[in-house]
Amino acid sequence: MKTKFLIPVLAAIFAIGMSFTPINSALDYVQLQDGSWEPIEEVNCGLDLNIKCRVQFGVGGPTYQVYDEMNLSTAKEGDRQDPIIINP
Amino acid sequence: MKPVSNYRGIAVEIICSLFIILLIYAAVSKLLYLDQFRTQIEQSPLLGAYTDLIALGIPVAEIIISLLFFFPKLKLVGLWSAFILMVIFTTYILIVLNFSSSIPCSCGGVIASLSWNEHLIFNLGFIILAALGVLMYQPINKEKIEGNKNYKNILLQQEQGKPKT
Repeated sequence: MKTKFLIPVLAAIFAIGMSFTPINSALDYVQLQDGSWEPIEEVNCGLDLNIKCRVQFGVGGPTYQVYDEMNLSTAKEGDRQDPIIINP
Repeated sequence: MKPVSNYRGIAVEIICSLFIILLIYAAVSKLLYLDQFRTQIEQSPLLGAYTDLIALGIPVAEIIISLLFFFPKLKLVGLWSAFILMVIFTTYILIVLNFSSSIPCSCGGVIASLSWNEHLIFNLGFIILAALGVLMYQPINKEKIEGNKNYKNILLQQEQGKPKT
């Protein structure tokens, strides 16, 4: 009986521990004109020289500020003045 | 050689443990990043109108279902509940895939890094596990009950066969 209760407890502890493990998100986000968030592949913005990191959806396409999370306070900064052209 | 019921018992325990890990991990991850989870739900065309209810309801439901697996008498209920929950999640994924694949996954932790198709396969796998758990669990209980009944019948017959003093 005690063994049977121990296994679920261990599984729960394992799961709680895993959920506190930080995950490096492989996604960045841009906010579209309608306010919705669009996930994009992680962008390498280069060195952090306080230059706002922007992407452009295709040549001549719209330009957006890149964010680390779906939060306006997580704007990414880099070393490129020109937006990075991506295929969304 | 161990009887089949032992292997079934071990398999059911493994399945229950996997669901405990999955459900608690998903629930705690959602609660740790509740604002982000709420934002993701708001963007969903289906769930946007029920953001507050779902943002807390889903993690709470996941925790309650995972707690069912801690008690042997409630494991079958837990397996059925997990099965139903996974079916609901999978149905939602199928509907979302028809709307747009650019809607962020409203899931927690490392599961969020899966694509919608990968997430669908992941959920289908756990649906199969839950179904297997339900199918394997019932026969074990029946064997125990039948075994106990037979044992009681044997005892009763022995008692009836004894001469009265």
